[in-house]
Amino acid sequence: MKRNYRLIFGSAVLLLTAAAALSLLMGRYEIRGADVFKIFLARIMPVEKTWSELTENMVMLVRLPRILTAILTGAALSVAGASYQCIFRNPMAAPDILGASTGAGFGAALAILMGLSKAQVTLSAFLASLLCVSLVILSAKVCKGNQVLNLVLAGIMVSSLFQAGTSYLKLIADPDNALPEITYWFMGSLAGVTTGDLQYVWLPILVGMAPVFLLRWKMNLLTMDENEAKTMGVNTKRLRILMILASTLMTAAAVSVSGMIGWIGLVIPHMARKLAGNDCRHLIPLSAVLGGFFLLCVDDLGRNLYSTELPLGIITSVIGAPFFLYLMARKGEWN
Amino acid sequence: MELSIEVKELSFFYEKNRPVWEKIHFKIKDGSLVSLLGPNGAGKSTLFQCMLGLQKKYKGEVRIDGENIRSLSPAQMARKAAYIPQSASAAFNYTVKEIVLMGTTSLAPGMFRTPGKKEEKLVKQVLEKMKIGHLENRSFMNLSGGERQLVLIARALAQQAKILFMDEPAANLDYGNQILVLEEMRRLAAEGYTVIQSTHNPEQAFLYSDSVMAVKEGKIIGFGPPEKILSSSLIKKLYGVDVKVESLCGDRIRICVPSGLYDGQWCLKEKGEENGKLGA
Repeated sequence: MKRNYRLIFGSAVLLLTAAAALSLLMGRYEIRGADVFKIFLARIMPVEKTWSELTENMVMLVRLPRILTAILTGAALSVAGASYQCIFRNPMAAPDILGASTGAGFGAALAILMGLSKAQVTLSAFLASLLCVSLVILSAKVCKGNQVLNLVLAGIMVSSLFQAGTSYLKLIADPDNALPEITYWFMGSLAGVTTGDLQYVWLPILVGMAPVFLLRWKMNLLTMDENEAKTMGVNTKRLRILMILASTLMTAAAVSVSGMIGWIGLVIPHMARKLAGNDCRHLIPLSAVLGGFFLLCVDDLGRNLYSTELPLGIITSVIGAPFFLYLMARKGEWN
Repeated sequence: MELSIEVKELSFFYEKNRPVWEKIHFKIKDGSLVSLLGPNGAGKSTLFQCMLGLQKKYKGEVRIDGENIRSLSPAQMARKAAYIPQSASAAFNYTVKEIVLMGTTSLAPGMFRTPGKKEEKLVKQVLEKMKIGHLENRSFMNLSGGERQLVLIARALAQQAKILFMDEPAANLDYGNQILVLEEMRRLAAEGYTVIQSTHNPEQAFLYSDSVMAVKEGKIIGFGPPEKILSSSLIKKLYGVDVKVESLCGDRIRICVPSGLYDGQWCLKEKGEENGKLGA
């Protein structure tokens, strides 16, 4: 079942690095590889300048932040997906299970409607996302019975409320300016990502990832029956809530900058499961690398396929859904 | 003779005035194979949960090695007692090695500790001991019921606790696998593990226990060696059916036979003329 994990992980890292390097060269403004190399080299040692100021800005201020954001966002969504699947013992769980992206959507729509700046839209999406998930956790807490089931049900209910809020905002939005912008946000895009955006998302994403990486062995036990996990010495309640908070933080940060991008959090973890098995010690790192690689490729497609940018949500669905079906058909089983 | 497990005045209620357990107390000898015998719904699982620290809403005390288990963390508790469920409900398909490795989680202190070489070696040893080393890289879900149960026992052994709680070990197994698993439990008790298994089958209690604790309606109605306490009247009390207790091999083995078979006069007849009745 588990093939050589090191080989697989190593190849995935190589693929990601190669894709990142190639992505710097892709785009309508032509940049030579040698120049890119020298621009980076110039940061650490003096190099004779053979490139234009515009090229340097293009590399350092436009393409590099966008590439890094794509990798971080993709990794965050995949790791969050894998982690939610364990937390809820459910192979079909995805980062939106507790309403993180629905909440973000509402926050973004509200900010766009109020005519706020792009940074403020991101912030508003981030906060609304956290608010939505907090409401879900609180409502699940006051209910009796199976906490895991309560969380999932509360997630559906609260998401539905935020969805209704978003629909109302769309209804009253100006159909010439605000409405298209909201609609476009919901399709997901990394167009126009700046170093500012990157600075804003990397911290919450890494803060969220750290506990998931550090506690990933114990996350295996969360997929077992609650009583079994407890008798094996895991404080399941505490671990589960910590993992939920961490996964939510990275999802919120990711979707607030990228908008709605579906499928990654479901497809990539399953791909990683097929490649490296279900042990989270391998699953989580591989999901992170594959997720980063996948979203980077999708973003490259999005900005190079046509003269106008193609929203990421469309591409991830077009690639993700058939791929998921393929995985299903090939293995024919989820357990 | 050490008595490490001690239950004092334990009471448990789901609803007021309807006790599941009412002020029970008992001690269990180290290294003994104990059957908790009672009808379905007698509260056997609830008692296990109290004794494993999974259920805390009981009155009274459960002490293991003299310590009140209320004051133990899950990791400390895991070092004392392991739980072997009827069947594992894994949402994802792990390999046998990974499943057993999970048992070692509480061995190393530290929140972020991940099992390493030492634990991997322990897993290998435990699998060899259970004679399932060849299953190491197989997927848990693809195993037969008996093999799964052996893996779960291996996982409990990897936990290195001296007390094993086993919930109806034979409930979901075919006859051959039942015997396989129960023999294994007896071997472990002989090695010094304290094994407490719940069962609703008196035959199993006869054949596979050093002592039997018979429970009904929140009370212990008999606790002792099976040959002393398992009488036809006790079984009648527990299950409301009439049985005769028969002995085999010079009374070293006992079994019970439903009285209906006697009433059909099949056993009493010298000649086989009434055989047809039994077959019907």
